Amino acid sequence: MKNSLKQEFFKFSHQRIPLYGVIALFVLMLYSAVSKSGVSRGIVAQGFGAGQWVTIIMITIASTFMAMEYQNRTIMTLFYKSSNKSFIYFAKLIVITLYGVSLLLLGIVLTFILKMVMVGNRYSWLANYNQHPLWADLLLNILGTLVYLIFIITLAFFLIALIKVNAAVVGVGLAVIFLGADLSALVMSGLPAIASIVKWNPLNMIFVINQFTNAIYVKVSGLSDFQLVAANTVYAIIFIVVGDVLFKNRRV
Amino acid sequence: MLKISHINTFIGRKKIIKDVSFQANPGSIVGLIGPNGAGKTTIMKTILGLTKFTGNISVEDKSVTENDHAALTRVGALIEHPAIYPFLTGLENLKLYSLDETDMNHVFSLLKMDSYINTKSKDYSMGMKQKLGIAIALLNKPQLIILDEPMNGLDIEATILIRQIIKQYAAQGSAFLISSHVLGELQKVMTNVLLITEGKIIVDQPIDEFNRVSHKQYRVLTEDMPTTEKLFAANQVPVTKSDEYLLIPRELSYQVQDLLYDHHIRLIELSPQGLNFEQTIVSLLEQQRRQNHEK
Repeated sequence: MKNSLKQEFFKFSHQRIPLYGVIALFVLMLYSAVSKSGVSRGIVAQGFGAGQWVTIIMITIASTFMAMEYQNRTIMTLFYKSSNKSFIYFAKLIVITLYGVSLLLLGIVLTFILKMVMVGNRYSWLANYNQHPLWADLLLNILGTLVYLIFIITLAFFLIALIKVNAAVVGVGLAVIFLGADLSALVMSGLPAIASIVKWNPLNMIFVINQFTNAIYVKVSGLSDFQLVAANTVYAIIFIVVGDVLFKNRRV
Repeated sequence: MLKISHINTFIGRKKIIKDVSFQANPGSIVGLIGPNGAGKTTIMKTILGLTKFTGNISVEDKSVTENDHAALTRVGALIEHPAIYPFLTGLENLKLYSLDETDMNHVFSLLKMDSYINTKSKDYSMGMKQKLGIAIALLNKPQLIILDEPMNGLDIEATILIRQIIKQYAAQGSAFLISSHVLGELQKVMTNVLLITEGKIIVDQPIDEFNRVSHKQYRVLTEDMPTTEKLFAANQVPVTKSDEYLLIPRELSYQVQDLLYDHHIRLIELSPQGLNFEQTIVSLLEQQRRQNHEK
């Protein structure tokens, strides 16, 4: 496992994709800051969309990082050189998760910089709103994103092991991120009789990003904060276990 | 070193490898030969624990299973295509798998890759990529080296170099399992012949024995070759055409003389013919095909 981790870190750090991820995050956060007439407190609390942008970037990077082994036909060498195929899967998962967390932390830093440059002292980090100071809202949103990030990375790994096509995985991932919340809310409002079951669907998990700081989302998701975190975790575990089984048994 | 006992390999429900057994001893160079689709690459993948199989595979007396590759620690392989990352240099690709820097430097120097080892491998020619793939297989002083079509894309100098390196590693005790469509190249290095067709091994012999005894044939020339050919076909005499002659198995030479005599066909020549390596392989495959067809 140690060797697999070393190899995956080496490969990841020698690609340009981590750098592109950082640049993409900065550009997209800047876009969030300038695309509307003024920067609201809510935008700052959401880290200029850092959470949403990081999840989008990460589904692309996670999927590409796994798919490259098939594209470069390196998967056979990885498999026979590794004493256990699962080590490769988990090593990749750990590397990508750590990068995702780093990107989120960078998002916090960029939020402070962007706020300073674009907003100045208009919203104080210490002033309360919705019972929380601005800094706490930011951190809670980032914490929610962290939970969802694990969900989305494990989903990407599961999907690439299942459908094998990088573009398709990215497409499905983006659909989950962009349409998931609306679709889920639509189904639950359209089918109130089975809402108690439907509320656990995977598309609903995205609410964890905003719900910690905005209690209004509880009514939309139908799940408490604890339930959302637990459900995200359970989904992540299912994706990891099933993804690993698919990965190990895939013909190369 | 490598022991394969009664392996059967399946892809989906289809059995690709059928009850195959053989072994490769230290210092041996086993040439795995067979037509396209015979199962050469599948056997190699199976040894590397990359396919589902039944039977036993052991390397240095340790078992290989689909999910336990601990026995493959000292095995190097190049299967189908060089496994390289285009965004890494040649040296970085080697570093990924190398456990010993001195050995790694030795390997790329041996392969004469010094001039481009620090270039990104995406800029490599096909031959350079192939050499890098072979270098990866040679890392860490492997005891067993599996090479699938190692001469693909190599120029004549590189081909000669690889041949020398294979012999050098074998002399140091490494066992090789090599497949190649370039039989002449394989013939120059191999110590054992493993001929496979339709997933079954039909020849497993040391090359000297193979050349000496197995496949001497007799060539037949009569005054009426078209009739002779029809006569042999009607009497199920396996033949291979060679220029104006028909080649028949040595053990049928008396039977053929009687047959020609009975049908009043005058025999002009019946003489032993040593087939070259390529002709022997083709002849054996034809015989096997005929036998399968008759079944």
